[in-house]
Amino acid sequence: MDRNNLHLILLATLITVATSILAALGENRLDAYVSVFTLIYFALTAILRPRRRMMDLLALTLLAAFSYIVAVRILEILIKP
Amino acid sequence: MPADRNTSFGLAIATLGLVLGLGAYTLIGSIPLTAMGIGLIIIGASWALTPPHPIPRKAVLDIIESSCSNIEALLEFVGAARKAIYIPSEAYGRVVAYVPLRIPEDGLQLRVIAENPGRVIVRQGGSLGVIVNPPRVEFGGGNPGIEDSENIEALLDYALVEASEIAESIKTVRSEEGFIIEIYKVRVDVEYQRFRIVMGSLPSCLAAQVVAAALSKPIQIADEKRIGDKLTVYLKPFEWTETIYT
Repeated sequence: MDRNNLHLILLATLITVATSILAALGENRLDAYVSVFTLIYFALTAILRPRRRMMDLLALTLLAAFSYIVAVRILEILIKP
Repeated sequence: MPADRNTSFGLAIATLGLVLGLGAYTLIGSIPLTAMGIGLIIIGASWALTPPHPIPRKAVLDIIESSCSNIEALLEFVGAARKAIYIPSEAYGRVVAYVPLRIPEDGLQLRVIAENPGRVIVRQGGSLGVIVNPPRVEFGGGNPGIEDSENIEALLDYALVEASEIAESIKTVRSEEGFIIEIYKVRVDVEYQRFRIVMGSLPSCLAAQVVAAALSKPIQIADEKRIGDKLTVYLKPFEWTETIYT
């Protein structure tokens, strides 16, 4: 199968599965979902290396979101009395 | 540039995800549904970023280069210097390039060339020329008879941007002499000098074939100019009854 199609199929499947599992576990933090989605995206992209018609803006956006989430978490730990 | 299938589907899914995410967050306050919306946005964006007809760039470049080097060798061997005429030939079942080597004083009938199936050397009266199979992209065979530049642009866009990814975008204008095609950000080209003189640059060569097949008329690359990222190609169509003298 074409790796671009495989990337899309696996991305859709894994995001659906991850969302279902996290929802079943009662996870109610949106940043947990976004972090998992980011990991799934980067893992699949690194393994399958799909072709992109331009710079991967989605990867940049997800990286920025992930960095923000991690930074907030670190700050929470540092500021916590 | 018209949106292709992947862009349309991708953006539709991303929009659906955005609506679902915002709706679930503001109206219901459901985090899992909001997350599903974000997931859909990611899937949609990823789909939109995927080119519809991806090709292995390096492998294709190697194939194109070796194909063009053979043509270059042939053109060098026969001493070709005149510009090729791209001829849609039913007999050959594709667009071929006729490279004139000798044109008699009474001119050369274009129809005669198209009716010479299977021959590499075409000798007619005092004329002499060779038939070359140029590097080409399948674009669905064309639709003989379409004259307006929008349809030509759609075919060129498919052949040069979507199918081959040779350029980033194209623009076509119908002029009195023929077609002016602006090709932006050419990604693939060959540097063979004789090939460029006779057949034109690779994008021009492909564009000429597309227009020849679409119009069902012989086409010659009258001129091409490269300014920065933009390659402007002037294509001149001929009538079948026309006689070439130079």
